[in-house]
Amino acid sequence: MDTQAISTGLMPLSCVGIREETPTIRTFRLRACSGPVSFVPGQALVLKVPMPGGPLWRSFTISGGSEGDLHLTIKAQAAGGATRWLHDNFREGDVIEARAPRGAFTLGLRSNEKLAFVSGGSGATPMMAMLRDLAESEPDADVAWFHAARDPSEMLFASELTELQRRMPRLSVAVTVTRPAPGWFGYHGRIRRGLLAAAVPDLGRREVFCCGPGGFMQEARLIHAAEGGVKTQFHTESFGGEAPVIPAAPEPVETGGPAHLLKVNGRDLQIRPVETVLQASLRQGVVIPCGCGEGMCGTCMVKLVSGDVDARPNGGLTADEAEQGYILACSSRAVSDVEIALE
Amino acid sequence: MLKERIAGLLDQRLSGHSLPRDFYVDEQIFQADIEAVFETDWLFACSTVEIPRPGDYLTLRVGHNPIVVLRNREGEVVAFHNTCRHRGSQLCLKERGRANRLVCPYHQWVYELDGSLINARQMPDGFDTSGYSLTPVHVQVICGMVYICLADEPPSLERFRAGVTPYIAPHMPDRTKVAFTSTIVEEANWKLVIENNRECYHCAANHPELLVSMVEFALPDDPQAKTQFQGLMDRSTARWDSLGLPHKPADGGIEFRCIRLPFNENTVSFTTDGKPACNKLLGDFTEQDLGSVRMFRVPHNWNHFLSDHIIHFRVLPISANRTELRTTWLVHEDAVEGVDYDVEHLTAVWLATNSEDGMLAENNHRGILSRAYRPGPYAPSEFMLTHFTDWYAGKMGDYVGTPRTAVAAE
Ligand code: FES
Ligand code: FES
Ligand SMILES: [Fe+2]
Repeated sequence: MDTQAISTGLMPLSCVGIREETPTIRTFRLRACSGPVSFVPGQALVLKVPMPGGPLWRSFTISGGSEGDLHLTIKAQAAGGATRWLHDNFREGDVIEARAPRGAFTLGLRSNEKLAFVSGGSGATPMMAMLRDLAESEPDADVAWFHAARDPSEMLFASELTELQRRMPRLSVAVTVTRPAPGWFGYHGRIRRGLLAAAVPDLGRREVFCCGPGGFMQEARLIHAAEGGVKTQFHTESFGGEAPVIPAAPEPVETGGPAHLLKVNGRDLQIRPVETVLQASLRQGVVIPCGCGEGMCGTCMVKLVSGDVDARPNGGLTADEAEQGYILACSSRAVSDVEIALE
Repeated sequence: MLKERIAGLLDQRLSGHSLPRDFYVDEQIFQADIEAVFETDWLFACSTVEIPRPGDYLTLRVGHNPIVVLRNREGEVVAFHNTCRHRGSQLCLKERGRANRLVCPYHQWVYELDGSLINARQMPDGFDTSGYSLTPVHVQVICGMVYICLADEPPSLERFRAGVTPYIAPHMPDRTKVAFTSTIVEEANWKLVIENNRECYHCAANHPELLVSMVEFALPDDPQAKTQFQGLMDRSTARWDSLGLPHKPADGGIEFRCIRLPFNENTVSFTTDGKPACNKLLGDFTEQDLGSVRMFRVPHNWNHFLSDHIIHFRVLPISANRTELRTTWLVHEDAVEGVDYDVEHLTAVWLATNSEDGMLAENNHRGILSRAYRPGPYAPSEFMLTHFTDWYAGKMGDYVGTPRTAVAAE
């Protein structure tokens, strides 16, 4: 594979501890070699997972952190994937590369006193991060958390949550599982309006932070609206949910038509006005690491050496990075001949 | 005498035409209407959510019969003739209220909510109250709609119940509340009010507010309109099918009609801007655009069931040339006025439409008083008027004892 090392914006993190949360979920405690790393609860980290067939870029929500360390709570998915690899191979003392924490799914978006967290599967992770933050800064916060898990054994953070409930008198938690077992006393069944409205009767009056699989978030969005919720008070975490981030398949582009020159690390490629830098590169065999494909995760960041692009980052680039001349390949189109560098 | 006159008029009547003049304007025939139609058939009284708690009551007048519908201590809806068993005073005087017991305002006889007389002061010792219970009226509740029947032997409502329930139940009318009610009196015969409601031939010229959202069929022969409507219909029905919501016309014959129809492109509710009237949707719906279930039943009501609200319309005849129309808007029981809905936005379209229809019916009535009036032919888009007048003629035929000319509703 024609992958090239990227150093810019990458930081090495060493694993300083691993905790078993459930049989399939572990929390990895990471420490930056360069010093403490700051993040806003709700943000995510893109890891470069050194798979045998070449590195895979995966986004994980930061579940928490202390003293400059970062916690990633990761569920092992199917064999052969990055999460499974991490569970099987990533040990205390190992080093892994990552991009700096980013993402806008944080309490900074908040405009309402009353909050609802709605999560599915490992979508609980950013909720937990935000909750820990609230327990410190605003223990009286009115938070209703609705979580959907597959079965009771997959309940994340159960003991820590108990501790947070002690500190946060207005925190309520409701859990539904799709595979109930004897001894389970919570709700069961998939997310649906009747269930969510029973668990959080005033959902329509709350500001929702939602994280989970795509279909789950779509349903939650419809339910919030149907309960009379304000559209601008529904926030989702668009990546880093239960499923690993899958690189966006290149969209088919028109063949004919005028093209600009696209120089990538000295290689001359063609780029048509309708396609993105990422699509043009992939089409011609140059692999630029990518994640969300929608300008949100920052994985496809490349340096613009010369030329002009129509760049439409969607929160995946910090102001600093843009200032320094970085662009997101997945959401930039050439408007002249351009040269980029994968560093 | 009267019955013979009616029989004669029925003989003159042509199906597919408006009725002979006296059916609309004659006071004696109006009395016959009450006896033949309103005292024999099931009538829509109100929604169950108008009387949510034990002791809540609502009164209405069917011809000269005052009726009280109330919720008893067991939570059931019951109805009685609203007349005291002492000397007949009307018992409940308000249109809506709450009573722990029904106490007659005249000499204070006291009735339990089940209609039994429990106190009759100053009556001699040994007075047996058991023979003086209120006279019950038959009640059936269908999807939150209270139907009453004054007949001794009410006709069956089962075909209607089975026919409309699958359409209405998903809107969960039991989990609604009253957002607004309006009552207007139109100077027109009740049948003209009904006929006006059963066609949209008049809509294009008269209902600008309604036509923002309502798809009207005034031009069924216009191929362009037809293609446009067909596309809208196909897209809508595919969505409703995927949600498991029935939409094809129910088999109601001439007794009732029930169908789900789409709103115009980019409109989802009966509002002046086509936007939802209530942000909190009914039942467990999460889709705003469910068109509307349009339902009516002879003799006198029609209803709309949308994703965000329900509207009931109830027509009661007062005299040959006066008719009361009561309209009730229901929204989700937890919806908050000023937050989830605005009463003016919710009611503007149908308040305007009711008033426009009222004027049309009044014009109609005044024109029929003319000695030049002759029954005129219904247009194809007025086929529901043919159904209605055939059904009415059948009821009147039964009343005067002539063989039926039309198929009965039951
Ligand atoms: S009429 Fe009712 S108490 Fe006399
Ligand atoms: S003249 Fe224009 S519609 Fe009749
Ligand atoms: Fe009308």
